[in-house]
Amino acid sequence: MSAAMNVIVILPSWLGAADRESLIAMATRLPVSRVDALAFTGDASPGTVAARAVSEMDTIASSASLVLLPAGPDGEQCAALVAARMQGASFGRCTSVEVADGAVHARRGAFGGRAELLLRSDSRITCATLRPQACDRGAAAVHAVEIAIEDPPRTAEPVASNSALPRVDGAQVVVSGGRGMAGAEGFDLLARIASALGAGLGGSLPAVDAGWVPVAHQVGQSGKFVTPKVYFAVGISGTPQHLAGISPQARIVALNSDRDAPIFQRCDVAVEGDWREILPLLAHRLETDAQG
Amino acid sequence: MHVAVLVAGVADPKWPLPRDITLASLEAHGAAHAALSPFDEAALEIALKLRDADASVRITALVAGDEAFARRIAGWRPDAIHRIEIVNASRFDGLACGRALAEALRSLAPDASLVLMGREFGDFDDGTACAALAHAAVLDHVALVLALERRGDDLWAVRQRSDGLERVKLPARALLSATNDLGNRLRHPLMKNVMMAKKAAIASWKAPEADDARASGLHLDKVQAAPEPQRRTESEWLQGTPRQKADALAQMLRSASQS
Repeated sequence: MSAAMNVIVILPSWLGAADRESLIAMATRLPVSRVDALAFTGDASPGTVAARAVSEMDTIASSASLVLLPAGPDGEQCAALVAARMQGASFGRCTSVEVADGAVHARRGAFGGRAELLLRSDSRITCATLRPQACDRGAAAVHAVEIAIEDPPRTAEPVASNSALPRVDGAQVVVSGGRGMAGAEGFDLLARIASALGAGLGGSLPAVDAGWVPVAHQVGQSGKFVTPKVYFAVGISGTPQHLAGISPQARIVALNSDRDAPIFQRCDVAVEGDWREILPLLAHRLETDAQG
Repeated sequence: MHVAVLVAGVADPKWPLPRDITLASLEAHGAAHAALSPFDEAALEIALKLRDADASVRITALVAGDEAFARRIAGWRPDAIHRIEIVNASRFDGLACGRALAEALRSLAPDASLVLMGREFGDFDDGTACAALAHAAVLDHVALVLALERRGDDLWAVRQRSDGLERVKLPARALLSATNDLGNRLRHPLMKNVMMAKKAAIASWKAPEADDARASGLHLDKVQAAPEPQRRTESEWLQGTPRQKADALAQMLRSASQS
């Protein structure tokens, strides 16, 4: 056990309760004696959270501290700011973090998930973000502190959304489309299917780039990480960048007209076919069943 | 108004990575197959739209790539363009990269009141560099920006929040990290500008060695090919007519959504 190292978990308000517990549990499984959890409430941006976390850490940071945050654009931003303010190091979005020999070791993807960096930090403060994954708590004791903060006043206004597309966050089933949809028309069908199922609607980066689905629905390395029971991938080739956004526990059902598409090497259920033929039938079937 | 746009480029993902993966081989691969990322494109297009609407806007492009890549960026006719060389070690250390970019801004575009960059800066970054730059350059950071709107003398950014879109009034000096959206897809450059870019003199600036990542205590022990995703079982292939496949899918998806 690295007695000199402690772990500080920053739990911003945008993180749900289940993910908060998962991140704490992941921290307690590291070979450290103490985990400090800073649980934030209130509408606060990554900058505000980072500034307050740094002031709290002045009293709890050890001679060496690992600071864990949830992965995602806000998490990476917050981690970078904490590390910069404390003259530490930031690994960014890691796939694993370990503590050994007084240093922090991590693995992080690069080149769109095609390469892997094995990083090590001997900085006094090392920040890392991780995807929360449910697990049992380990041996380390947890000291939790609740912090209520709000952003300072700023001039901002919500923008009325012109879509009521179902979100992917927390969805049991995610219905997702990619470049193979070839246009927005297919996403209308996917939206009907998602609506009939109470599922989330996702898209790959090319689909977002083409404007067929808003960026808030993007799944993948640069988008959301989703943890559904079933991920229905339509017209998605299956690049590592896209698959990096899908939980390994998710059952992937793939519909694609190209039998050689890489997604068929990774999916659990494969459907070769033209979405133009199959999706209208699927949408009709689900809507009819829902009415019955 | 002076706008600085930072462009990193990525290795075009349609080209496989080299078999022998090292920092140097990845660097060479990235240079040989350099492409604008969707986030680079968004940042550049937002700057160009700003200049379209106001001819007094000056754009300085700072390109972290080789000369050929910088010439491609010159094809969009920024008012000034510089190549910036960041030492290899800073590529994987987002904080060191942010410090180097802040130094480049101080040297090459000190009066820029608006700085635009993609939300990920190159193939090694996952969103750390823009936050680190904002800290090092003491700029207000507005993340996940889709578009800019002008209202009178004020500029507003439309940005993505986790729970929807919002419009934020920009302070006098700000760093915007852009994300991809239909509204900010990069236009094609004019052919005459592409031809002029081929002859343009592009100055190069090198980050001081002091910004090397080793100063922050971050070390790269190894770089390797990412592990293949683990398959749990063989795929089950659905057979039959389109209707039979649709019926089987309906049953499978409904079952998952109700459990």
